[in-house]
Amino acid sequence: MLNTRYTQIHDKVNSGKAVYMPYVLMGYPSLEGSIAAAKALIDGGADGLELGLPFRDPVADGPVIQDAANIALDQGFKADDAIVFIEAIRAYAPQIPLTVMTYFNIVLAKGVEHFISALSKAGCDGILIPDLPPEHAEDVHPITQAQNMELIFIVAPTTHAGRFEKIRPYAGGFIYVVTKMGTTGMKDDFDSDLKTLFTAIKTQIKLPAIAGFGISTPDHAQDMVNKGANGVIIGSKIIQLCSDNFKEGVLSPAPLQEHTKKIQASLVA
Amino acid sequence: MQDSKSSLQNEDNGFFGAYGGQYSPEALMPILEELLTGFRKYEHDSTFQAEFLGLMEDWGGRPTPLYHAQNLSAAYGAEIYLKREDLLHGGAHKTNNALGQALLAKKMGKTRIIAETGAGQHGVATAMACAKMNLPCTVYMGAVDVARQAPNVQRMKLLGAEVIAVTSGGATLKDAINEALRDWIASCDTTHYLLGTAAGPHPFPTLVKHFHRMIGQESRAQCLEKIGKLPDYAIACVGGGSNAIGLFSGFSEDQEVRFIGAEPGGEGLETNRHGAVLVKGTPAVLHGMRSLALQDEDGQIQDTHSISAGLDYPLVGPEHAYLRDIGRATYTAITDEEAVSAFYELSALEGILPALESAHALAQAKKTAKEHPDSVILVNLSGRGDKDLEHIMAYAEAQKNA
Repeated sequence: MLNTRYTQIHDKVNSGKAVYMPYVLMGYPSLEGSIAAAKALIDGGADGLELGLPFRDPVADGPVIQDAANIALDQGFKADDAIVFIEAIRAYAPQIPLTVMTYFNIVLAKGVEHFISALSKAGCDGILIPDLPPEHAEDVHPITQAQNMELIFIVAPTTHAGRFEKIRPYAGGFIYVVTKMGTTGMKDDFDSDLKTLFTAIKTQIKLPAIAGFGISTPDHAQDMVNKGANGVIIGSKIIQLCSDNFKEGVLSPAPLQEHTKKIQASLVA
Repeated sequence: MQDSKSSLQNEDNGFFGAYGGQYSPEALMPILEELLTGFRKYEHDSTFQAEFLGLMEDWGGRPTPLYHAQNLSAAYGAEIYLKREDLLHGGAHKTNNALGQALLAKKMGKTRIIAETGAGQHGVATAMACAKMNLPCTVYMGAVDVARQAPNVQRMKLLGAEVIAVTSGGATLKDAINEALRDWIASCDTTHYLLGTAAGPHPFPTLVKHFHRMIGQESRAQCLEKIGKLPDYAIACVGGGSNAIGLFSGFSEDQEVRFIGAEPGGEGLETNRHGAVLVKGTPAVLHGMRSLALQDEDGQIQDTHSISAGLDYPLVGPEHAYLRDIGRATYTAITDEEAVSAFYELSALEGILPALESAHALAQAKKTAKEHPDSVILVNLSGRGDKDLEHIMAYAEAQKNA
C-alpha cells in the first residue's frame, strides 16, 4: 500500500470510528462556489472529500448530478480547472484526503499519464473511475502507482466473491460501496443484505467500506454505520445544498457546515 | 496484428484490436458476465438456433431477396444489387437482432426488456419481438427523435411497449442509451437490455453481429447463385454499425470483396453538424466500450447531426474502428443532400422507398460506381423509407425556402 493521506481514514476506522467524505462537483454552482463549498465541508469536519469532474454522459449518476454537471460545463468548466480547484483546497487543508471521481473518457482525452501526474502534483490522493472495472485497471493502475495515487474501486450489491478477487490487487484507499442498485440520488429504502456486503469487503479486500448512493440524512448515515459501513459519502444532497445556498454568485457556507456537523454527530451517536 | 480471419471474430475479453472491452460500472459487470455465459451457451445450441431461424422465416420473412436494380445500375454505371432487408418484417434489419436477443433473454429467465432507439426502427423491432415473446417492454427514445419519428412511436405503443421520451443532453440516441443503461443498473436482475447496435460493452458487439450474420451469409450465397461471383464492393450505412457488420461478416474471408461503410456527413465535414465518427473521430471510452467518438479536447462527447435519426450517434461499434485501422474496410461521409438525392433516385428508378439511413449507402454506391464503372456493387438496403416521408417533405420544403 502506498503512503498517502488515506492513512488518516484508516487510523480513524481502526480506532472504531466512522468517517464522512462528502462529494463536491467541481465547477458547480461555479468554480469559486464549488471551492467555497469544499472549504465549508472541511470547516464542518469532513474527514475527506470526493471531487467530481463534470461529464455530460454520467451513466452511473442520477439526474441531480447530471444536471449540475451540464450547468458547470455550460459555464465553461474545463478539466484543467480541476487542477486549479485541487491546488486551492490543498493549500487550505494540507492533510485532508482528496479523491477525484471522473469518468474514464476525460482521463483518456487528457492523456492518462499527463492528467494523473497533474492531479498528483496538485495534491490529489486517489482517483475513482466508475466506468473502469478491475478488468481494465491495467489501463491506469501502473500510472497511479508511479504517481503515488491510489486507484479507488466500487463494490455493488451484485459484486460476487470472484470479483472481489479481481478488485483486490488494484484497490487502494477505500472501497466505495454502492448500497443500492441504481444511480446516485436520494432514495429512502436500502437493500437488506448490506451487512453481509460490508463484512465481505472488510474481510476480503481489507479496506474501509464507505457507503455511497442514496444517502442524504443523518438517519441514513447512522443506519449505514449500524449495518457495518466504516463511513459514508453524500453527493446529491450536497449538490442540492449548493444550489439552495448560492445567491448572486456567492455561496453561503453555513448550511453546508451545519449539515456536515449533523452527519458527523450521527456517526458517533 | 491479427489476421483477417480473426478480424471478424474475437476472444472472450471482447477486444477487436485496441477497441471493445467492458468499460462498465461495477454494478453491471456481473450481469455482463451472465449475459456472456448465456450467449455462449445458446450461440451454437441447435435447438435455440432452429427456433430462432424458424421464427425468422415464418414470422420475420427471411431469407430476404437479393435484387438486381437494373434501372439504378444503368443510371449509376455499375451493376448494383440490393440486399432487401427493407422487406423484412418491421421494415428494417433490426428485427433479426431484436428477436434473437428477446429469445435469448427469455431462455435466460429474464422477465422484462428495455431498449434504446434512434430512428425508432430498433424500438419497433423490439416491441414486435416482445409482443411475440410475451415480454413487457420499455423503450427509451430521445425527445428530438420522438418528434421526428412519430409513426414509429405510434407503432411501438400499438405493439404494447412503453415509450419514454428522454430530454437530457441532445435528446437523441446517445441520451436514450444513457437512460437505458441507468434503468439497467437498477433492474438488471430481472431485465435484459436489448441493445440495438453492434456497440456497447462486450458481449454486445459480438452478440448483435451474431444475430445479424445472416444478412451477409444470405447475400454471399445469393451473389454466387445469381451473379456467379462475389461482389467487388459491399456497401452499408454505419451509425452504430449493426447492419454493416452483419453484411461484412458474411464476406470476412473474401479479401477481394472490399467493404465500404457510409457514415452520416450531415451538413458537411467542415461543419460540426455531422456524425462521421470513423472519418473524424478520436479514441474514446463511453457506453461500455473503447471505440472512437466525436468529442472535444476534454473528452466531452459532442452532439451529432444527421438527417437520418438512425445514424445520429457520436460513437461507433468497436469492430468498425478495428476494420478501419487494419485497412479491411474504408469509411466515407455522405451528406444529407447526397442521401436525399439517392432517396429520390431509388424511389423514381426502382419504385422502392429506402430508409434515409440506407440512402447513405446508396449515395456511396453512386460514387463507387462512378469511380469503378462496371464493377459489381452489393448494397445493404437496410430499411424501408415510409417512416421518413414526413421528414423528407419538411427537408424539401426547407431547401425550397433556403
